Amino acid sequence: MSSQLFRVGLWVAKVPQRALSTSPVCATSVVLDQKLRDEIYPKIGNREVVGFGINGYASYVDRCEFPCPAIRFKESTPEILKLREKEKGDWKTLSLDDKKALYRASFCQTYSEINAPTGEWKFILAVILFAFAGSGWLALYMRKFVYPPPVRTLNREWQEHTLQRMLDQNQGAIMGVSSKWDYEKQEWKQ
Amino acid sequence: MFRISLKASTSLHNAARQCLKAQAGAICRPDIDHWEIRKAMNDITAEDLVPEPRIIFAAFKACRRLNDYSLAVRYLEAGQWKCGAKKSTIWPWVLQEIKPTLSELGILTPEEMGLVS
Repeated sequence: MSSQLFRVGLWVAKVPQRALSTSPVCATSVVLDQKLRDEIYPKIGNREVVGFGINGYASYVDRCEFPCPAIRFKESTPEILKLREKEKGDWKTLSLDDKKALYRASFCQTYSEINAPTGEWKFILAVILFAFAGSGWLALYMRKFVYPPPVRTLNREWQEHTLQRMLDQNQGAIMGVSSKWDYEKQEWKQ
Repeated sequence: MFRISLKASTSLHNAARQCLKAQAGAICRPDIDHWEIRKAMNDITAEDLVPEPRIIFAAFKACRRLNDYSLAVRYLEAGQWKCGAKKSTIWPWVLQEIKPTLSELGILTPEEMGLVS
């Protein structure tokens, strides 16, 4: 379907012969053949197709980079059609409510609504903190119930005795431990 | 390597300028239609620039011809968004340039319409 719409788009873009015609401006300028119409209109209902949009699909998306979607947002109801007739006149005669209604008929969200903060960060932070808490609990469980008891050599007293033994055996006399021990003064070399 | 990247960026800049001239020219055509004005607006918004007042004038004229008020307001919003972080320095100038056209055609800015929160 996208290739067909793209062809439509190309066909419309290749119409500079209109520059030579004397007919008035064509207001509904997206001309679809019957096959496309049968494909698209059941999906979009009564909405007017107005352009190429993002990719040629007759879809509506609010994106800051693409101000003009392919279809109007709301279906063409009689009230909206009345407003469109009014729109053909001087825009200064439109009231503020009319203008807002026209905007909302063509578009779903304004730019500030699109970019408004959603507070999603709170949920994400909560999930991350839950994950940390869960890992903490898992680590405690592993230590208590899964790991074997620690090796008996892993305490201070054993390590001190080991060090004493290394000094007694003069291990590392050139560059290692014993080279840093002063055997006359029985203390570490300063 | 610095010189190569410099050359690449200037050629990209030139290409963007040419593209923009083509699009601005496209907007200025007196017989433009809904499809083309929207395609041009989307393409110009895709470029890395804030639309100049002359582009906005042409867009407004096209909207007036097509009797589409909301499109004009939408494009103003898009222009503001393109300013990015520098909105307070760039947009007031643009607004000042297009103010006469705004009042002539009766287009309200998004702030005046209450669409900006």
